[in-house]
Amino acid sequence: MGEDGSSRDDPSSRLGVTGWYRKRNRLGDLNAALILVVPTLIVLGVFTLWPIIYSGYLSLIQWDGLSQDRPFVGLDNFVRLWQSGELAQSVQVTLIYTFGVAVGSVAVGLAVALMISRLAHGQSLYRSVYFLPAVTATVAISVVWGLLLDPGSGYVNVALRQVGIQGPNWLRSTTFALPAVILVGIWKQLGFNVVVFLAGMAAMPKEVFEAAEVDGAGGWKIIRSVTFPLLAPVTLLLLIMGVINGFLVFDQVFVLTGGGPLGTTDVLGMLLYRRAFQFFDLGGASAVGWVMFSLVAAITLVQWRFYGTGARGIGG
Amino acid sequence: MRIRSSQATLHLLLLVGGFVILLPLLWMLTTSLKSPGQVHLPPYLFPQSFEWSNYQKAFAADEFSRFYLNSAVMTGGIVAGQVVLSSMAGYAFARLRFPGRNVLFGLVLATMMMPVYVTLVPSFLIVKTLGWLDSYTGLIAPRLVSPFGIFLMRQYYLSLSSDLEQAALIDGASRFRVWWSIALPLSVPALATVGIFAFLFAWNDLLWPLIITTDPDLRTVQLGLAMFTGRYGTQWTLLAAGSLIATLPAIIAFLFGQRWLIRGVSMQSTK
Amino acid sequence: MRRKRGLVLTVALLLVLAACGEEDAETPQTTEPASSPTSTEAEVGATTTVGAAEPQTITFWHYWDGLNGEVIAELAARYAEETGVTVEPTFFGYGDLLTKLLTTGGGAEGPDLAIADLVWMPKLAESGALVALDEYVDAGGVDVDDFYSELLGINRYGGQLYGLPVSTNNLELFYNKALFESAGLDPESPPTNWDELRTAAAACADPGSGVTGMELYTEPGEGLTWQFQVYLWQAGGEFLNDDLTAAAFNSPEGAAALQYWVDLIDSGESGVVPWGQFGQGAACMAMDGSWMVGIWSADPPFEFGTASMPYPSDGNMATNMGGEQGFIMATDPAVQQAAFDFLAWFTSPEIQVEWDQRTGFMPVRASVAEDPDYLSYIESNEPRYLPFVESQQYARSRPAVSVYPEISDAFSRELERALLGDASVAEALAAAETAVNELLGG
Repeated sequence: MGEDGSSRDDPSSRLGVTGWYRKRNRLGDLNAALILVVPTLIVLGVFTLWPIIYSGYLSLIQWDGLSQDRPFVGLDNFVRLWQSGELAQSVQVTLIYTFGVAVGSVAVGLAVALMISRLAHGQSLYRSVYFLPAVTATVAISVVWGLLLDPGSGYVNVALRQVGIQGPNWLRSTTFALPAVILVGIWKQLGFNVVVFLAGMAAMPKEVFEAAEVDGAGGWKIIRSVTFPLLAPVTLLLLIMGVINGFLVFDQVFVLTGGGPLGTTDVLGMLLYRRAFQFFDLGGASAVGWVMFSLVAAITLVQWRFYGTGARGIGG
Repeated sequence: MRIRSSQATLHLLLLVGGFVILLPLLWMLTTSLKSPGQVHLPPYLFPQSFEWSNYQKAFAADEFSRFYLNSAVMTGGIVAGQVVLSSMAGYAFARLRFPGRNVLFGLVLATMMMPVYVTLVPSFLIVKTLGWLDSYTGLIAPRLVSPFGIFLMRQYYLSLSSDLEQAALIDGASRFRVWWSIALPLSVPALATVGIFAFLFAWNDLLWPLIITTDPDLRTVQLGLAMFTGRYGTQWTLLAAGSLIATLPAIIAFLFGQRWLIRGVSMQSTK
Repeated sequence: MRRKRGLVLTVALLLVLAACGEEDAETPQTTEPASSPTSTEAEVGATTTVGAAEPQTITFWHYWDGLNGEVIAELAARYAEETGVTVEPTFFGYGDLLTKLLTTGGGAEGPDLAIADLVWMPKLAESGALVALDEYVDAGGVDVDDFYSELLGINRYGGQLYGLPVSTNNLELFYNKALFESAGLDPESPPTNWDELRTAAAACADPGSGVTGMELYTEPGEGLTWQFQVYLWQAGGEFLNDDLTAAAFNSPEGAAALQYWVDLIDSGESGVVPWGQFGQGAACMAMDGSWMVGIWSADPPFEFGTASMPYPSDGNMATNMGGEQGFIMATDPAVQQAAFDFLAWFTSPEIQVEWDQRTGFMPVRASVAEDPDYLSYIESNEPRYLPFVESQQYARSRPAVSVYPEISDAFSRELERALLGDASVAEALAAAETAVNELLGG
């Protein structure tokens, strides 16, 4: 199902029908296309394409959204935010969060998927249970995690005390707030990775394993020398998708910490929200948006580089 | 020889992990059934009391039922729009020949890579100019198109045989007619996948409703929950009941639509 | 023909969008246009000397939920029975009412009467939505001198009176008797000064079981600011200068108050914890508002007592007052008069005694606070209200400046740095002073 699939399926070319039919059909195609595609193009144009251009303009001016005066400041919005330290801190926090969640959820997801794939019974039940967090509302679940992480009576610290550990003030601590937010992120992302790993494992050719067994390899050796290499493309893909998702995190930070304490969880999404909708610094907020775009674009380029490998590896 | 790790060990490990995964949901359930005086009791995981009135109170408090209605309207609109428009555009990109098709499809794909944050502030300003702040239109219209949905539908139509459609075309049916009465009914499984993704996206979304509504009457469930703090003390039991109510539709959608959802996830990762 | 169908679909889609837009233009809140007194009630209007007919319905917005909301609805119904004037209370969430009042302010969409947080007064007055009450007060019917002057004074803005106090509350010490006992402290003798407070907190804190000694409000926002102001005033400091043009907290007294908080945290007697520990039984002591007595005693999570907030041996008694004020927003003079009449009735000593007894709000009038009936009722029903009633005379109000919310936010953000050890006491106060003065336009 490549990009060229459409011409193969085009009835006029395939059937070799007569000229009058082809002509009539072309006309029909154009009319139908107008009806079928135009609504989508209107929405995309007004709410995606035009805003992209608009955003580029906004990032170069200084504007509070109301005043008539909107001076052109060039790249000053970027420079100003960078020099104030806010942007630098946000980029740093976002990178730590992103790599923490991406790596953590891929590592744990792989382990869980390996275990599930080896079960004789109950595979789909476990898959559903682990996938559940991916569909639950981040807001609701973050509210609950906030209460679970309460230093006094939250279940997490109560459990830690049972084993003699004095838990920290998770979300109000400059040291532990970001790890706590990362843990919630992993919790949320895990199920997606498990499902994709399981799909990848199901698509693996059986013959390779049989060949390995004939060669006398067993246990870990097979996992190390056969499963892992075959899963490498999927793993890479999940890492990249995780990173892109991570750059765009907002909900759980908004609910759990609001970016605090002292900005230690102030991810780029929070910074943009605050700049735009609390300080009405639309130029600065748009600048933050373009910083996020650059990060995503850089990662997407990496993804393209490995794209072919990825598609082949899953056998699709 | 294949690994023969004991099945029992695997189950044990997976059960412990599953417990951690389900812990927040369990907590919601037990806390939402507690009386206020029991909140500080040492943790327990299975309900020991059943204060169903917490749900009633959560609904009454802070206009939660209103939030629910708003979420339902917004989600309904977005799901309907994304399903219909994805099918329309996906079909056109798969089957029709028209000038600029590949460029347009490339454009749609390109918007998939655009983080929502780049367009957030301008979209807000556009919605404001249109006078759509604090309105259902403002909540729904900008999110009617899903590039991923279009991509998914296009792939689906490409995988379908077009014999039936050709026969209909030769019989004189128009392309639009063929889409409506042949392709659309055949693509129900893919539509379901698009629909469930749209549902989860819309029901769980926070950021857009947060920025374009100031009127509490237009608040969605997620927004109401994020702002759920009373003037005179936060009531935990109600908060737990509220979060369970907010989560339930997505869980139900998941249980019923699992098949299509997991299909979609696999497609997303192999695109 | 068929092509048309497709177009119709597209057009229909756009129409639906447009229709949605129109639908929510009409607000679901049913508000009578304030400016149209109905002319049908001629028989009631006969009593008034004014030419206009007496209005029969007053719209009234507030944010009182739960018990408070039930009592105010009942009082409104009684007022209707006694006078024939219907008062229609509508509830809004706390976070929403101010926005609602500011956006509808003074217009036909807004209420005739609003009861709202006293710190919102300057913002509302500045927006031009409020009706000055001086004329109505001068015409008689309300003994304004009986109100606590600090409470009434909040309503003066630009030399005019814009509201009447209807309810108040203040912050005092709550302590968990069970935790006191298990720490070997006497549950009947709570600390009375700052030194004793620290001693008790040190004895009672138990990190091993997650118990904080004295809970402080450490998250940025008004919660931190208004709690800290109590310590500041107790130490003899001031928040702003007398003419409200500059910060005054960067003083030796301010430093003493902030140092006291930092010491509580550094010694482990308190912690940088999310607010709410006391209510979960995870803090021995906390300073909180009188309304919590009602909330916690309804379904007691644990045994607790209340006491006057401990203050420094060389300092003053002080507390921070919260509460609500009644504002008139009607545009029609006849409606204004009707709304004022209800407000006068609601703030009269007899109704206030009943209101305070039933809701647990503190008296806004000296005559109520000294009323023997009221006092004996409190004593026999809920003596834990007594420290709040007795301290009302020491209650101070937050400065009446329209940028107060912004000031409070900036102030709390700088103080948080000191509490988390990211800045010294002197640095935090200096930075807060700069930020606040900038907001005040100095």
